[in-house]
Amino acid sequence: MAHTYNWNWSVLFQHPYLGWLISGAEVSLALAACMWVLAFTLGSLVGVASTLPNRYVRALAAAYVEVLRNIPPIVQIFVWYFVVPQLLPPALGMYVKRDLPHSAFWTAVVGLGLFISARVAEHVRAGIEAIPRSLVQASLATGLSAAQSYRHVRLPIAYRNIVPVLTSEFLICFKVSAIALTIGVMEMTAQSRQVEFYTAHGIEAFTAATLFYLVFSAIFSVGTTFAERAMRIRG
Amino acid sequence: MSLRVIRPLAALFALVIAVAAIPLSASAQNLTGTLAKIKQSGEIVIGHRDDGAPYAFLNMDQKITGYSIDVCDQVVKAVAAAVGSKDLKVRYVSSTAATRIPLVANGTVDLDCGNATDTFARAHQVDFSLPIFFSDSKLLVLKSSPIKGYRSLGGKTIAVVQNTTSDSYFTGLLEAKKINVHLIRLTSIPEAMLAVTTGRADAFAGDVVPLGAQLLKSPDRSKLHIVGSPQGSNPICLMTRQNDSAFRLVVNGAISKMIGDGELFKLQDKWFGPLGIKLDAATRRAFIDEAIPME
Repeated sequence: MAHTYNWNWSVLFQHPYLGWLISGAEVSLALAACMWVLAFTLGSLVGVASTLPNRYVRALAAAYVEVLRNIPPIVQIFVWYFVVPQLLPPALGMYVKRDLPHSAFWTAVVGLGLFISARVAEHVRAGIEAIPRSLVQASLATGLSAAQSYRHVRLPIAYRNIVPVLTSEFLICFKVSAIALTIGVMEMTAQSRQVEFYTAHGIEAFTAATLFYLVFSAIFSVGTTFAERAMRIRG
Repeated sequence: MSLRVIRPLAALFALVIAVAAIPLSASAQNLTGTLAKIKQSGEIVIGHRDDGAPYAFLNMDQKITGYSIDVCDQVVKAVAAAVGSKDLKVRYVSSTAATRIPLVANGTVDLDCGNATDTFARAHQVDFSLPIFFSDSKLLVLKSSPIKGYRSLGGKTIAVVQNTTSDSYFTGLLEAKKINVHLIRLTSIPEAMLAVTTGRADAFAGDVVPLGAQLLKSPDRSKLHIVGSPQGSNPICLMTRQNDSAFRLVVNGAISKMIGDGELFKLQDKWFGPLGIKLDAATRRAFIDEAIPME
Protein backbone atom coordinates (compact mmCIF):
# COMPACT_ATOMS: atom_id res chain seq x y z
CA MET A 1 0.00 0.00 0.00
CA ALA A 2 1.35 3.40 -0.90
CA HIS A 3 3.07 5.25 1.93
CA THR A 4 2.23 8.85 1.31
CA TYR A 5 3.43 10.46 4.57
CA ASN A 6 5.07 13.66 3.47
CA TRP A 7 8.34 14.20 5.37
CA ASN A 8 9.51 17.74 6.02
CA TRP A 9 12.13 18.17 8.74
CA SER A 10 12.60 21.86 7.96
CA VAL A 11 9.30 22.74 9.70
CA LEU A 12 11.11 22.21 12.99
CA PHE A 13 13.42 25.10 12.15
CA GLN A 14 10.78 27.51 10.88
CA HIS A 15 9.34 30.41 12.79
CA PRO A 16 7.41 30.09 15.09
CA TYR A 17 7.82 26.34 15.55
CA LEU A 18 11.52 26.45 16.48
CA GLY A 19 10.75 29.07 19.11
CA TRP A 20 8.01 26.89 20.56
CA LEU A 21 10.29 23.86 20.79
CA ILE A 22 13.08 25.86 22.45
CA SER A 23 10.60 27.37 24.91
CA GLY A 24 9.29 23.89 25.67
CA ALA A 25 12.82 22.66 26.30
CA GLU A 26 13.49 25.53 28.71
CA VAL A 27 10.27 24.86 30.61
CA SER A 28 10.98 21.12 30.84
CA LEU A 29 14.47 21.71 32.24
CA ALA A 30 13.26 24.33 34.74
CA LEU A 31 10.39 22.08 35.80
CA ALA A 32 12.63 19.04 36.30
CA ALA A 33 15.13 21.11 38.31
CA CYS A 34 12.48 22.59 40.62
CA MET A 35 10.79 19.21 41.04
CA TRP A 36 14.12 17.63 41.98
CA VAL A 37 14.97 20.30 44.57
CA LEU A 38 11.61 19.70 46.27
CA ALA A 39 11.79 15.92 45.88
CA PHE A 40 15.34 15.61 47.19
CA THR A 41 14.75 17.88 50.19
CA LEU A 42 11.47 16.36 51.30
CA GLY A 43 12.53 12.86 50.34
CA SER A 44 15.65 13.12 52.48
CA LEU A 45 13.69 14.37 55.49
CA VAL A 46 11.10 11.61 55.18
CA GLY A 47 13.75 8.97 54.46
CA VAL A 48 15.68 9.87 57.60
CA ALA A 49 12.43 10.02 59.58
CA SER A 50 11.61 6.47 58.55
CA THR A 51 14.80 5.24 60.27
CA LEU A 52 14.31 7.04 63.58
CA PRO A 53 13.63 5.15 66.79
CA ASN A 54 10.21 6.78 67.42
CA ARG A 55 7.62 4.43 65.92
CA TYR A 56 4.96 7.10 65.37
CA VAL A 57 7.39 9.14 63.32
CA ARG A 58 8.28 6.04 61.34
CA ALA A 59 4.59 5.29 60.78
CA LEU A 60 3.94 8.80 59.50
CA ALA A 61 6.88 8.54 57.17
CA ALA A 62 5.66 5.18 55.92
CA ALA A 63 2.18 6.58 55.29
CA TYR A 64 3.66 9.51 53.36
CA VAL A 65 5.61 7.12 51.16
CA GLU A 66 2.75 4.69 50.57
CA VAL A 67 0.19 7.33 49.64
CA LEU A 68 2.42 9.38 47.40
CA ARG A 69 4.19 6.67 45.50
CA ASN A 70 1.16 4.45 44.86
CA ILE A 71 -1.17 7.04 43.35
CA PRO A 72 -0.35 7.67 39.68
CA PRO A 73 1.30 11.07 39.25
CA ILE A 74 -1.26 12.17 36.69
CA VAL A 75 -4.00 11.72 39.30
CA GLN A 76 -1.93 13.54 41.94
CA ILE A 77 -1.37 16.54 39.68
CA PHE A 78 -5.11 16.80 38.97
CA VAL A 79 -5.85 16.74 42.70
CA TRP A 80 -3.38 19.56 43.34
CA TYR A 81 -4.68 21.59 40.39
CA PHE A 82 -8.45 21.21 40.74
CA VAL A 83 -9.21 19.92 44.22
CA VAL A 84 -6.72 21.47 46.65
CA PRO A 85 -7.47 25.10 45.71
CA GLN A 86 -11.15 24.41 46.41
CA LEU A 87 -10.30 23.15 49.89
CA LEU A 88 -8.22 26.18 50.82
CA PRO A 89 -9.77 29.24 52.50
CA PRO A 90 -11.53 31.20 49.70
CA ALA A 91 -9.06 34.10 49.57
CA LEU A 92 -6.03 31.82 49.42
CA GLY A 93 -7.81 29.57 46.94
CA MET A 94 -8.55 32.45 44.58
CA TYR A 95 -4.96 33.64 44.88
CA VAL A 96 -3.65 30.23 43.88
CA LYS A 97 -6.16 29.90 41.05
CA ARG A 98 -5.84 33.38 39.57
CA ASP A 99 -3.17 35.67 40.91
CA LEU A 100 -0.21 33.37 41.49
CA PRO A 101 2.13 33.86 38.53
CA HIS A 102 2.77 30.61 36.65
CA SER A 103 0.20 28.86 38.80
CA ALA A 104 0.19 25.71 36.69
CA PHE A 105 4.00 25.47 36.72
CA TRP A 106 4.23 25.63 40.52
CA THR A 107 1.28 23.26 40.89
CA ALA A 108 3.17 20.81 38.69
CA VAL A 109 6.35 21.25 40.75
CA VAL A 110 4.42 20.37 43.91
CA GLY A 111 2.10 17.73 42.43
CA LEU A 112 4.85 15.81 40.62
CA GLY A 113 7.70 16.68 43.00
CA LEU A 114 5.91 15.07 45.94
CA PHE A 115 5.48 11.86 43.94
CA ILE A 116 9.23 11.74 43.29
CA SER A 117 9.97 12.66 46.91
CA ALA A 118 8.23 9.51 48.13
CA ARG A 119 10.49 7.44 45.91
CA VAL A 120 13.58 9.36 47.03
CA ALA A 121 12.56 8.74 50.65
CA GLU A 122 12.62 5.01 50.02
CA HIS A 123 16.07 5.17 48.44
CA VAL A 124 17.40 7.21 51.37
CA ARG A 125 15.87 4.79 53.86
CA ALA A 126 17.41 1.83 52.06
CA GLY A 127 20.77 3.57 51.97
CA ILE A 128 20.69 4.26 55.70
CA GLU A 129 19.50 0.77 56.62
CA ALA A 130 22.21 -0.83 54.49
CA ILE A 131 24.89 0.48 56.81
CA PRO A 132 26.08 -2.37 59.08
CA ARG A 133 24.81 -2.11 62.67
CA SER A 134 28.35 -2.56 63.90
CA LEU A 135 29.35 0.68 62.24
CA VAL A 136 26.39 2.52 63.78
CA GLN A 137 27.16 1.14 67.25
CA ALA A 138 30.82 2.05 66.82
CA SER A 139 29.92 5.63 66.00
CA LEU A 140 27.72 5.87 69.08
CA ALA A 141 30.40 4.23 71.21
CA THR A 142 32.86 6.97 70.33
CA GLY A 143 30.57 9.43 72.09
CA LEU A 144 28.58 10.84 69.21
CA SER A 145 24.92 11.58 69.88
CA ALA A 146 22.32 9.99 67.63
CA ALA A 147 21.99 13.20 65.62
CA GLN A 148 25.75 13.52 65.28
CA SER A 149 26.09 9.93 64.18
CA TYR A 150 23.56 10.64 61.44
CA ARG A 151 25.31 13.79 60.40
CA HIS A 152 28.90 12.62 60.47
CA VAL A 153 28.73 8.89 59.81
CA ARG A 154 25.44 7.45 58.58
CA LEU A 155 24.22 10.02 56.08
CA PRO A 156 27.53 10.64 54.29
CA ILE A 157 27.91 6.91 53.77
CA ALA A 158 24.26 6.37 52.85
CA TYR A 159 24.18 9.13 50.25
CA ARG A 160 27.39 8.07 48.59
CA ASN A 161 26.03 4.57 48.29
CA ILE A 162 22.77 5.65 46.70
CA VAL A 163 24.17 8.07 44.10
CA PRO A 164 23.54 5.63 41.21
CA VAL A 165 19.96 5.02 42.26
CA LEU A 166 19.37 8.74 42.78
CA THR A 167 20.66 9.38 39.27
CA SER A 168 18.08 6.95 38.03
CA GLU A 169 15.46 8.73 40.08
CA PHE A 170 16.43 12.09 38.65
CA LEU A 171 16.03 10.73 35.13
CA ILE A 172 12.59 9.47 36.11
CA CYS A 173 11.86 12.92 37.51
CA PHE A 174 12.89 14.45 34.17
CA LYS A 175 10.54 12.18 32.23
CA VAL A 176 7.65 12.54 34.70
CA SER A 177 7.82 16.30 34.16
CA ALA A 178 6.00 15.73 30.86
CA ILE A 179 2.84 14.96 32.83
CA ALA A 180 2.65 18.69 33.57
CA LEU A 181 1.19 19.17 30.11
CA THR A 182 -2.10 17.83 31.44
CA ILE A 183 -2.61 21.00 33.49
CA GLY A 184 -1.48 23.34 30.75
CA VAL A 185 2.26 23.72 31.37
CA MET A 186 3.71 24.19 27.89
CA GLU A 187 6.74 21.99 28.34
CA MET A 188 8.53 20.09 25.58
CA THR A 189 5.95 17.38 24.95
CA ALA A 190 3.09 19.90 24.90
CA GLN A 191 4.97 22.09 22.42
CA SER A 192 5.74 19.18 20.14
CA ARG A 193 2.03 18.29 20.11
CA GLN A 194 1.25 21.89 19.23
CA VAL A 195 3.73 21.78 16.33
CA GLU A 196 2.00 18.60 15.16
CA PHE A 197 -1.37 20.33 15.26
CA TYR A 198 -0.26 23.33 13.20
CA THR A 199 1.93 21.54 10.65
CA ALA A 200 0.50 18.01 10.41
CA HIS A 201 4.15 16.81 10.59
CA GLY A 202 3.66 14.85 13.77
CA ILE A 203 6.46 12.36 13.33
CA GLU A 204 9.09 15.09 12.92
CA ALA A 205 7.70 17.01 15.91
CA PHE A 206 7.71 14.00 18.21
CA THR A 207 11.18 13.04 17.04
CA ALA A 208 12.37 16.47 18.19
CA ALA A 209 10.89 15.85 21.63
CA THR A 210 12.40 12.35 21.75
CA LEU A 211 15.85 13.65 20.90
CA PHE A 212 15.56 16.36 23.55
CA TYR A 213 14.79 13.83 26.31
CA LEU A 214 17.45 11.41 25.08
CA VAL A 215 20.22 13.99 24.75
CA PHE A 216 19.64 15.63 28.11
CA SER A 217 19.23 12.30 29.87
CA ALA A 218 22.57 11.26 28.41
CA ILE A 219 24.19 14.51 29.57
CA PHE A 220 22.90 13.99 33.11
CA SER A 221 23.96 10.35 33.17
CA VAL A 222 27.49 11.16 32.06
CA GLY A 223 27.66 14.03 34.54
CA THR A 224 26.64 11.87 37.45
CA THR A 225 29.08 9.12 36.45
CA PHE A 226 31.88 11.56 37.16
CA ALA A 227 30.24 12.59 40.44
CA GLU A 228 29.86 8.93 41.42
CA ARG A 229 33.52 8.23 40.82
CA ALA A 230 34.60 11.27 42.77
CA MET A 231 32.42 10.33 45.73
CA ARG A 232 33.04 6.60 45.82
CA ILE A 233 34.07 5.24 49.16
CA ARG A 234 37.30 3.42 48.64
CA GLY A 235 37.89 -0.07 50.01
CA MET B 1 -19.49 -17.75 -50.46
CA SER B 2 -15.97 -17.72 -51.75
CA LEU B 3 -13.01 -17.56 -49.40
CA ARG B 4 -12.29 -14.06 -50.57
CA VAL B 5 -15.52 -12.87 -48.94
CA ILE B 6 -15.42 -15.13 -45.88
CA ARG B 7 -11.94 -14.19 -44.68
CA PRO B 8 -12.53 -10.44 -44.34
CA LEU B 9 -15.99 -11.13 -42.87
CA ALA B 10 -14.46 -13.49 -40.31
CA ALA B 11 -11.77 -10.95 -39.46
CA LEU B 12 -14.40 -8.24 -39.03
CA PHE B 13 -16.50 -10.58 -36.86
CA ALA B 14 -13.49 -11.37 -34.65
CA LEU B 15 -12.70 -7.67 -34.34
CA VAL B 16 -16.25 -6.88 -33.28
CA ILE B 17 -16.16 -9.62 -30.64
CA ALA B 18 -12.78 -8.44 -29.36
CA VAL B 19 -13.91 -4.85 -29.08
CA ALA B 20 -17.13 -5.87 -27.35
CA ALA B 21 -15.18 -7.93 -24.85
CA ILE B 22 -12.97 -5.03 -23.73
CA PRO B 23 -15.51 -3.42 -21.38
CA LEU B 24 -16.26 -6.79 -19.79
CA SER B 25 -12.65 -7.47 -18.87
CA ALA B 26 -11.73 -3.86 -17.98
CA SER B 27 -14.48 -3.29 -15.43
CA ALA B 28 -13.32 -6.22 -13.33
CA GLN B 29 -9.60 -5.32 -13.41
CA ASN B 30 -9.55 -1.52 -13.38
CA LEU B 31 -9.33 -0.93 -9.63
CA THR B 32 -6.34 1.00 -8.36
CA GLY B 33 -5.05 2.29 -5.05
CA THR B 34 -7.33 1.93 -2.05
CA LEU B 35 -10.14 0.30 -4.02
CA ALA B 36 -7.73 -2.40 -5.21
CA LYS B 37 -6.46 -2.88 -1.67
CA ILE B 38 -10.01 -3.20 -0.37
CA LYS B 39 -11.00 -5.71 -3.01
CA GLN B 40 -7.91 -7.77 -2.40
CA SER B 41 -8.21 -7.85 1.39
CA GLY B 42 -12.01 -8.03 1.48
CA GLU B 43 -12.20 -5.37 4.18
CA ILE B 44 -12.16 -1.61 4.58
CA VAL B 45 -10.29 -0.14 7.56
CA ILE B 46 -12.04 2.80 9.20
CA GLY B 47 -10.22 5.04 11.67
CA HIS B 48 -12.15 6.77 14.41
CA ARG B 49 -11.80 8.48 17.76
CA ASP B 50 -13.15 6.94 20.93
CA ASP B 51 -14.08 10.24 22.54
CA GLY B 52 -15.26 12.47 19.69
CA ALA B 53 -18.94 12.74 20.57
CA PRO B 54 -21.20 13.04 18.63
CA TYR B 55 -19.06 12.37 15.55
CA ALA B 56 -17.38 9.11 16.64
CA PHE B 57 -17.40 7.75 20.17
CA LEU B 58 -17.83 4.60 22.21
CA ASN B 59 -21.36 4.22 23.54
CA MET B 60 -22.35 2.60 26.81
CA ASP B 61 -21.89 -0.86 25.32
CA GLN B 62 -18.37 0.10 24.20
CA LYS B 63 -19.54 -0.03 20.60
CA ILE B 64 -18.36 2.63 18.15
CA THR B 65 -21.15 4.95 17.09
CA GLY B 66 -21.78 8.52 15.98
CA TYR B 67 -22.68 10.88 13.14
CA SER B 68 -19.51 10.29 11.13
CA ILE B 69 -19.84 6.56 11.68
CA ASP B 70 -23.40 6.64 10.29
CA VAL B 71 -22.20 8.66 7.29
CA CYS B 72 -19.41 6.16 6.74
CA ASP B 73 -21.87 3.25 6.85
CA GLN B 74 -23.38 4.69 3.67
CA VAL B 75 -19.94 5.31 2.19
CA VAL B 76 -19.01 1.69 2.85
CA LYS B 77 -22.10 0.57 0.89
CA ALA B 78 -20.92 2.67 -2.06
CA VAL B 79 -17.41 1.27 -1.77
CA ALA B 80 -18.76 -2.28 -1.68
CA ALA B 81 -20.67 -1.59 -4.89
CA ALA B 82 -17.59 -0.05 -6.49
CA VAL B 83 -15.38 -3.07 -5.80
CA GLY B 84 -18.16 -5.50 -6.57
CA SER B 85 -18.13 -7.13 -3.15
CA LYS B 86 -21.34 -8.46 -1.58
CA ASP B 87 -20.28 -8.48 2.07
CA LEU B 88 -17.45 -6.07 2.60
CA LYS B 89 -16.01 -6.39 6.09
CA VAL B 90 -15.40 -3.25 8.10
CA ARG B 91 -12.50 -3.11 10.56
CA TYR B 92 -12.51 -0.23 13.01
CA VAL B 93 -9.21 1.15 14.27
CA SER B 94 -9.02 3.60 17.16
CA SER B 95 -6.98 6.73 16.72
CA THR B 96 -6.47 10.10 18.36
CA ALA B 97 -6.27 13.60 16.96
CA ALA B 98 -2.48 13.30 16.77
CA THR B 99 -2.34 9.86 15.15
CA ARG B 100 -5.24 9.94 12.70
CA ILE B 101 -3.31 11.67 9.90
CA PRO B 102 -0.17 9.47 10.02
CA LEU B 103 -2.40 6.38 10.17
CA VAL B 104 -4.18 7.36 6.95
CA ALA B 105 -0.98 8.50 5.25
CA ASN B 106 0.94 5.30 5.98
CA GLY B 107 -1.77 2.93 4.80
CA THR B 108 -3.03 1.57 8.14
CA VAL B 109 -6.42 3.29 7.82
CA ASP B 110 -8.33 3.63 4.55
CA LEU B 111 -10.95 6.14 5.67
CA ASP B 112 -10.94 8.33 8.75
CA CYS B 113 -14.47 8.86 10.08
CA GLY B 114 -14.28 11.39 12.86
CA ASN B 115 -14.23 15.12 13.24
CA ALA B 116 -11.17 16.14 11.26
CA THR B 117 -11.20 19.75 10.13
CA ASP B 118 -9.91 20.40 6.64
CA THR B 119 -6.88 22.69 6.93
CA PHE B 120 -4.26 23.70 4.38
CA ALA B 121 -1.40 22.21 6.40
CA ARG B 122 -3.18 18.89 6.81
CA ALA B 123 -4.08 18.75 3.13
CA HIS B 124 -0.37 18.27 2.39
CA GLN B 125 -0.55 14.92 4.15
CA VAL B 126 -3.99 13.56 3.35
CA ASP B 127 -7.01 14.33 1.18
CA PHE B 128 -10.31 15.49 2.59
CA SER B 129 -13.78 14.54 1.40
CA LEU B 130 -16.58 17.01 0.87
CA PRO B 131 -17.49 18.52 4.24
CA ILE B 132 -20.06 16.50 6.16
CA PHE B 133 -20.60 19.26 8.70
CA PHE B 134 -19.62 22.85 9.45
CA SER B 135 -18.73 23.72 13.01
CA ASP B 136 -17.77 26.92 14.79
CA SER B 137 -16.65 28.03 18.23
CA LYS B 138 -18.37 29.84 21.05
CA LEU B 139 -17.81 30.67 24.72
CA LEU B 140 -18.96 28.69 27.73
CA VAL B 141 -19.41 30.83 30.83
CA LEU B 142 -21.14 30.70 34.18
CA LYS B 143 -24.65 32.12 33.99
CA SER B 144 -23.56 34.66 36.59
CA SER B 145 -20.70 35.90 34.41
CA PRO B 146 -20.77 39.39 32.84
CA ILE B 147 -19.20 38.03 29.66
CA LYS B 148 -21.65 38.16 26.79
CA GLY B 149 -19.39 37.64 23.79
CA TYR B 150 -15.92 37.74 22.32
CA ARG B 151 -15.70 41.53 22.68
CA SER B 152 -15.83 41.46 26.46
CA LEU B 153 -12.81 39.17 26.91
CA GLY B 154 -10.11 41.81 27.48
CA GLY B 155 -8.06 41.10 30.61
CA LYS B 156 -9.87 37.84 31.28
CA THR B 157 -8.64 34.28 31.74
CA ILE B 158 -9.76 31.93 29.01
CA ALA B 159 -9.55 28.15 29.05
CA VAL B 160 -9.13 26.23 25.81
CA VAL B 161 -8.42 22.64 24.95
CA GLN B 162 -4.86 22.22 23.64
CA ASN B 163 -4.55 21.96 19.89
CA THR B 164 -8.08 22.92 18.93
CA THR B 165 -9.13 25.68 16.60
CA SER B 166 -10.01 27.89 19.60
CA ASP B 167 -6.49 27.34 20.94
CA SER B 168 -4.92 28.43 17.66
CA TYR B 169 -7.37 31.34 17.33
CA PHE B 170 -6.43 32.86 20.69
CA THR B 171 -2.76 31.97 20.36
CA GLY B 172 -2.70 33.83 17.05
CA LEU B 173 -4.38 36.88 18.56
CA LEU B 174 -1.93 36.82 21.48
CA GLU B 175 1.12 36.58 19.23
CA ALA B 176 -0.17 39.48 17.12
CA LYS B 177 -0.77 41.38 20.36
CA LYS B 178 -4.33 42.06 19.36
CA ILE B 179 -5.79 40.92 22.65
CA ASN B 180 -4.90 40.89 26.33
CA VAL B 181 -6.02 37.59 27.84
CA HIS B 182 -4.47 34.90 29.98
CA LEU B 183 -4.78 31.59 28.18
CA ILE B 184 -5.00 28.27 30.03
CA ARG B 185 -4.53 25.25 27.78
CA LEU B 186 -6.04 22.11 29.27
CA THR B 187 -6.25 18.69 27.72
CA SER B 188 -9.95 17.90 27.59
CA ILE B 189 -13.34 19.56 27.53
CA PRO B 190 -14.48 18.34 30.98
CA GLU B 191 -11.29 19.81 32.46
CA ALA B 192 -11.85 23.12 30.74
CA MET B 193 -15.45 23.17 32.02
CA LEU B 194 -14.11 22.41 35.51
CA ALA B 195 -11.76 25.38 35.18
CA VAL B 196 -14.79 27.59 34.58
CA THR B 197 -16.91 26.16 37.38
CA THR B 198 -14.05 26.31 39.92
CA GLY B 199 -13.19 29.87 39.00
CA ARG B 200 -9.79 29.22 37.42
CA ALA B 201 -11.03 30.65 34.12
CA ASP B 202 -13.65 33.23 33.19
CA ALA B 203 -14.67 31.48 29.99
CA PHE B 204 -14.03 28.34 27.99
CA ALA B 205 -13.69 28.84 24.25
CA GLY B 206 -14.41 25.75 22.23
CA ASP B 207 -16.07 24.11 19.27
CA VAL B 208 -19.84 24.18 19.81
CA VAL B 209 -20.40 20.54 18.93
CA PRO B 210 -18.28 18.70 21.51
CA LEU B 211 -19.07 21.55 23.90
CA GLY B 212 -22.78 20.89 23.53
CA ALA B 213 -22.25 17.14 23.92
CA GLN B 214 -20.29 17.55 27.16
CA LEU B 215 -22.67 20.16 28.54
CA LEU B 216 -25.54 17.71 28.20
CA LYS B 217 -23.71 15.27 30.46
CA SER B 218 -22.29 17.78 32.89
CA PRO B 219 -23.62 17.89 36.44
CA ASP B 220 -23.01 21.66 36.40
CA ARG B 221 -25.12 22.33 33.32
CA SER B 222 -27.65 24.41 35.20
CA LYS B 223 -24.89 26.87 36.12
CA LEU B 224 -23.42 27.25 32.63
CA HIS B 225 -24.49 28.61 29.31
CA ILE B 226 -23.03 29.25 25.86
CA VAL B 227 -22.63 32.80 24.57
CA GLY B 228 -20.93 34.63 21.74
CA SER B 229 -21.34 34.90 18.03
CA PRO B 230 -20.05 31.91 16.05
CA GLN B 231 -16.29 32.12 15.49
CA GLY B 232 -14.62 30.64 12.50
CA SER B 233 -15.92 27.91 10.28
CA ASN B 234 -14.52 24.43 10.52
CA PRO B 235 -15.41 22.12 7.64
CA ILE B 236 -15.56 18.64 9.15
CA CYS B 237 -14.55 16.03 6.58
CA LEU B 238 -13.60 12.39 6.15
CA MET B 239 -9.94 11.74 5.31
CA THR B 240 -8.42 9.53 2.62
CA ARG B 241 -4.93 9.00 1.24
CA GLN B 242 -3.54 11.34 -1.38
CA ASN B 243 -3.22 10.46 -5.06
CA ASP B 244 -6.32 8.30 -4.98
CA SER B 245 -8.98 10.08 -7.00
CA ALA B 246 -10.94 6.89 -7.65
CA PHE B 247 -11.50 6.15 -3.96
CA ARG B 248 -12.15 9.78 -3.08
CA LEU B 249 -14.71 9.95 -5.86
CA VAL B 250 -16.60 7.00 -4.41
CA VAL B 251 -16.58 8.70 -1.00
CA ASN B 252 -17.67 12.08 -2.36
CA GLY B 253 -20.29 10.41 -4.51
CA ALA B 254 -21.79 8.70 -1.47
CA ILE B 255 -21.84 11.99 0.44
CA SER B 256 -23.40 13.82 -2.51
CA LYS B 257 -26.07 11.15 -2.77
CA MET B 258 -26.88 11.56 0.91
CA ILE B 259 -27.19 15.31 0.45
CA GLY B 260 -29.39 14.85 -2.59
CA ASP B 261 -31.87 12.51 -0.93
CA GLY B 262 -31.83 14.36 2.41
CA GLU B 263 -30.26 11.48 4.35
CA LEU B 264 -27.35 13.66 5.52
CA PHE B 265 -29.72 16.25 6.99
CA LYS B 266 -31.70 13.51 8.75
CA LEU B 267 -28.48 12.25 10.34
CA GLN B 268 -27.56 15.80 11.35
CA ASP B 269 -30.91 16.24 13.08
CA LYS B 270 -30.48 12.89 14.79
CA TRP B 271 -27.01 13.57 16.21
CA PHE B 272 -26.83 17.35 16.58
CA GLY B 273 -30.47 18.09 17.39
CA PRO B 274 -30.20 16.87 21.01
CA LEU B 275 -27.23 19.22 21.48
CA GLY B 276 -29.37 22.15 20.41
CA ILE B 277 -27.39 22.60 17.20
CA LYS B 278 -29.33 23.07 14.04
CA LEU B 279 -27.80 24.32 10.83
CA ASP B 280 -29.49 27.34 9.36
CA ALA B 281 -30.94 27.53 5.86
CA ALA B 282 -27.83 29.17 4.40
CA THR B 283 -25.60 26.34 5.62
CA ARG B 284 -27.99 23.70 4.33
CA ARG B 285 -27.86 25.47 0.97
CA ALA B 286 -24.04 25.27 1.16
CA PHE B 287 -24.29 21.48 1.39
CA ILE B 288 -26.60 21.32 -1.59
CA ASP B 289 -24.24 23.58 -3.53
CA GLU B 290 -21.15 21.52 -2.69
CA ALA B 291 -22.70 18.20 -3.60
CA ILE B 292 -21.64 16.70 -6.90
CA PRO B 293 -24.71 16.47 -9.15
CA MET B 294 -25.29 12.73 -9.36
CA GLU B 295 -27.20 12.57 -12.64
